[in-house]
Amino acid sequence: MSSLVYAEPESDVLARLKHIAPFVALRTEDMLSLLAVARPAVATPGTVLPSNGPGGKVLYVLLEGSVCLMRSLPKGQRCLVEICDAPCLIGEIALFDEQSSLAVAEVLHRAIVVELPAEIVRRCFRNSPAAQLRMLGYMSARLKRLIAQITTLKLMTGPQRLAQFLITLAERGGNGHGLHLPFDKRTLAALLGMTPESLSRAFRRLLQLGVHTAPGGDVTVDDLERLRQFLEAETLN
Amino acid sequence: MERRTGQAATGHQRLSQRDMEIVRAIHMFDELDPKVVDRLVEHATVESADSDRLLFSAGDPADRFYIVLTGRVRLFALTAQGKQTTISFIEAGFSFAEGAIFGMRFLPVNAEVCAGTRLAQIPRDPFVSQLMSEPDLTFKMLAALARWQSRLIDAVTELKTRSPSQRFAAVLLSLTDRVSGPADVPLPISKSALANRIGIAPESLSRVFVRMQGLGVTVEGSTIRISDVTMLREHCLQAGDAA
Repeated sequence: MSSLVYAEPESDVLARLKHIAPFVALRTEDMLSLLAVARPAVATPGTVLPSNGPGGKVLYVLLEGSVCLMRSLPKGQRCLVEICDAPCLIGEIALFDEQSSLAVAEVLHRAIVVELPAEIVRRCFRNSPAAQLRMLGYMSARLKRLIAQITTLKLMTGPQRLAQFLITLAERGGNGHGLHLPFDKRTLAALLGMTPESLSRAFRRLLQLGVHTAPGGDVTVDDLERLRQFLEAETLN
Repeated sequence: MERRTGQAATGHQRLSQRDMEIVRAIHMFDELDPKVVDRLVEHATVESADSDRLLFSAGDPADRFYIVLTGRVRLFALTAQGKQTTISFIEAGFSFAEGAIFGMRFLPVNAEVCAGTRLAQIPRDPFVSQLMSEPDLTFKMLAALARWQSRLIDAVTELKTRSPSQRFAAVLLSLTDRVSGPADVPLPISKSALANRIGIAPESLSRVFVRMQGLGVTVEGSTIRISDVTMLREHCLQAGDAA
């Protein structure tokens, strides 16, 4: 299994830490105490971020790359809950509620992370009401993404979920026609709550709406507006 | 579409007891004493919409947040071509725009309030001042959000890994103490509430009931008869597909 490769503590990635919400509002002395214990690391795809470090539970700040957040299932399987892109926090639940079960984070695209001891992060946030408010904002947004995902899973069919994913991808990239899937179809199926077979059926359905796939993860959307209409019409009913 | 008239908007009222029950129940306030919540939102007012209208636009100052009391609100963004793209619908019992008041000075999206919707609007400054003066409150709210995040991750996992019939079976198994053999389970909620709980449209429930018959589950009035609890549990543990 791949593992974290820790970099030198004085690495310049530390400087980037203080610009990540919600750390921006920490007091200078608290930020310095965090930087003193921060451990920057590089992780290759497949690396599982350990939820415990040398001094107990840890918080990761993802500065580059993306990770799959997964829940462990009986019989050793895992369910892909969401894909988190940098910049984001991994393991923030344990900062404020130690009883909650932890999700497993596995690196999807090469990642640069900073590992921080949860106890020290908690102490720094205790000292700063302004940083606590920033953290409230961050966690509210995270909660909303999960609620939106639950709504999608409950109300949308497989082809609609796929259409929604492609529309979001197109809007992010600013290119309505030529798209490239950021990960393989097996991961996409897991993200959308489908089996690979259901995903293939969903792509076949969207072919009727002008969505064409090519080997290597390239997707062409003839008419993005038509895809939006398919999604909006079905979702609003 | 009408635009809101900001602080001077007419028709604002204080929240009723029923409104306050909805406000106290939102995720963020889960760990707080109801009296503390009442104090935090004492400046809240009700805003009602008789027709669909724009509540705020992206770039407006983040000077308040909202809780939907009845009805719903659509959050949307504009594409590069100027088309509206829906981000999400906020239903009754949920808050929105609080992320912006905690972290940003301006609202990042647009909101359209649907006809018949009532909102509690909570002004930012007195709310944030209270939190800044009592950091323990913020930590309790963070704990509540962390706990809810964990629960929602469980809910996503359940929806992704179990088919509707497996989710229905899981609900039934949670309602009986029997570990094998037959069991009668009273259905404690309406069929539409059951459909919502297992994450399907109400009109799809009959298909799930048909599927359940093959697993020895029949409905008699408000009682559900399970012929073999073991068989139902095994069905739950099989690989599922939310599609």
